[in-house]
Amino acid sequence: MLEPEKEKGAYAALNRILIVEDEATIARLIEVSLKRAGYECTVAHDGLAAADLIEAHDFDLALLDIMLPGLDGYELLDYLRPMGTPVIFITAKTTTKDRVRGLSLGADDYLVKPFAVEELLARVEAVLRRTGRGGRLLQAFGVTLDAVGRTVTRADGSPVELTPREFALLEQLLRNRGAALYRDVLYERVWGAELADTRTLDLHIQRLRKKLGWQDHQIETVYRVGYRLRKED
Amino acid sequence: MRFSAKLVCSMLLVVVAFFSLGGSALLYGDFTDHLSSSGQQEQGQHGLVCAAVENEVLALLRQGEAVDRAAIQAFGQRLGGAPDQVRALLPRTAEGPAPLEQAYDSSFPAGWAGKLPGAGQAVITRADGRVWRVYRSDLLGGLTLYSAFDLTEAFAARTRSLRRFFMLEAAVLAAAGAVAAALSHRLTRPLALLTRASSRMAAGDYALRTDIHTGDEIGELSESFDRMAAAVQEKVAALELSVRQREDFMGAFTHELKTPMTGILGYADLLRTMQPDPAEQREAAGAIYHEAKRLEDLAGKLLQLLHLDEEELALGPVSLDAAAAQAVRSAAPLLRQNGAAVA
Repeated sequence: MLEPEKEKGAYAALNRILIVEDEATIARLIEVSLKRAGYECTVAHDGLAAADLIEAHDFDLALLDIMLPGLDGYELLDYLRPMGTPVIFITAKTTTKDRVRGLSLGADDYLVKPFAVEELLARVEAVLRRTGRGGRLLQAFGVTLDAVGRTVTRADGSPVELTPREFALLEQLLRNRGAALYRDVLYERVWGAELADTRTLDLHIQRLRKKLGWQDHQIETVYRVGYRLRKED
Repeated sequence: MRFSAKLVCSMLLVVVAFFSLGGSALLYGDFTDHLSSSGQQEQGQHGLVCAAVENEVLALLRQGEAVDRAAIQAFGQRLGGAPDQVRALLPRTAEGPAPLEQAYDSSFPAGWAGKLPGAGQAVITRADGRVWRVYRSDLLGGLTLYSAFDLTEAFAARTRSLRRFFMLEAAVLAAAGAVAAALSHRLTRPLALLTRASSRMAAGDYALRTDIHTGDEIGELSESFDRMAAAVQEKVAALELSVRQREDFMGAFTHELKTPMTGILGYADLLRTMQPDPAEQREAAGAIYHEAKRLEDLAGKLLQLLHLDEEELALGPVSLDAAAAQAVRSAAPLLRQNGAAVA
């Protein structure tokens, strides 16, 4: 229903992420966001189900709520630690004491509710990068973007020279592949300010298309919305 | 000044006052008695000498001899003396007796500078480094007899007595002081305990009790203090409980608030960022709606809770069957999950 198709070769490595959250709405939100960003997700709503899944599969990352029925987040952490699976706690327990406890028990990061989805994605990526489970390469139409090395390479291996803003813009398009992004959101995320007039953004899109050689509506202009990086046909 | 010291001083003051007064009265009385009893003896002896002198004068007059210096001197020698006594026989004229240096017969020490009494009187005086009582009698034949008795020893004895008394008083003072100090320390010790308990309570230790059973005002104070301490402890515990309950409530409430907020924010952010396809859009909108409804419920419950003590709770009969059935319905999924058979 809401699953973006898994394109072959769209991403260098498809990370498997376990989501353990008893609030259905939030679990769904996280699942959708992560799948859109290109991760494979499995959801469990309580500690015991999560424990079974952990035993059955290998995950690259686990997002754990702390207050769970059955086993709580801390106990699941004990389960996951010997496997070396990195863990991010997602929880409403915000006090410094709780955060310190979570981190000293061995969690790799700690995200507090309510969180912005953007922040969740960034932290997931950071943890995966840190634990060596994903040199995040984003690919589309023969172009590869290395989020860490900040390089863009063509299919033949030749580098593409992009300004920092162009790079950031391409990254946003790649991360939200297939979604029609609103202009003001794009502008905010790349320039960090409110959209004053659209010309700068449009110009940058034009330049990107030119530099990447994407003249066939790879980057689609969506009427009255903004831009979308098309999914591979 | 400390209270125990005040007690000691008061007691000592009383002791000193009455001891001194009593002692002094005693010593004074004794001395006066002694003087008057020795006085009687002296008078007796003086009287004897007077009689002897008058006999001699009468004898002389009967024999037709003159009452002159030589006769009196001879008489004086015949009479002899006594230790601690001196006498002087003087001629008397119309103006009074002659000065002492012109006495017919005198065993008074030379250069005697003491007072001399009037006729028929006695006087106590100092002379020649000693204390005398001098008697005077005017006799027949124009003679005056002075008898002086050495009282120095008596006075010296009195001084010795006084000295002994003072030493005794000093000793009594020291002993009384020590005993009074010990007693007053014993009596005021409960006060120190009360003070300590008060400052401990001020520092936050409400569990201390003084427990003093002396059966007096201090015991009553202790009892009353302990009651107060118990009341304070209870009150503080109740307040702390209230604060803890409030904190717990705030924590739980915030948590309940955050969860729907996360959902709403997340989906709203999604909708804001990109144009979703219709299915996505419907899902997102639905989630936002439901989470917002949860918040509305929460707000309603909170309002109810806040007004709970203001409203009268209406108690009504409830069907136990219905209540039980509803409980089973709500818990059914969880019960089945845990392997219970649910009808």
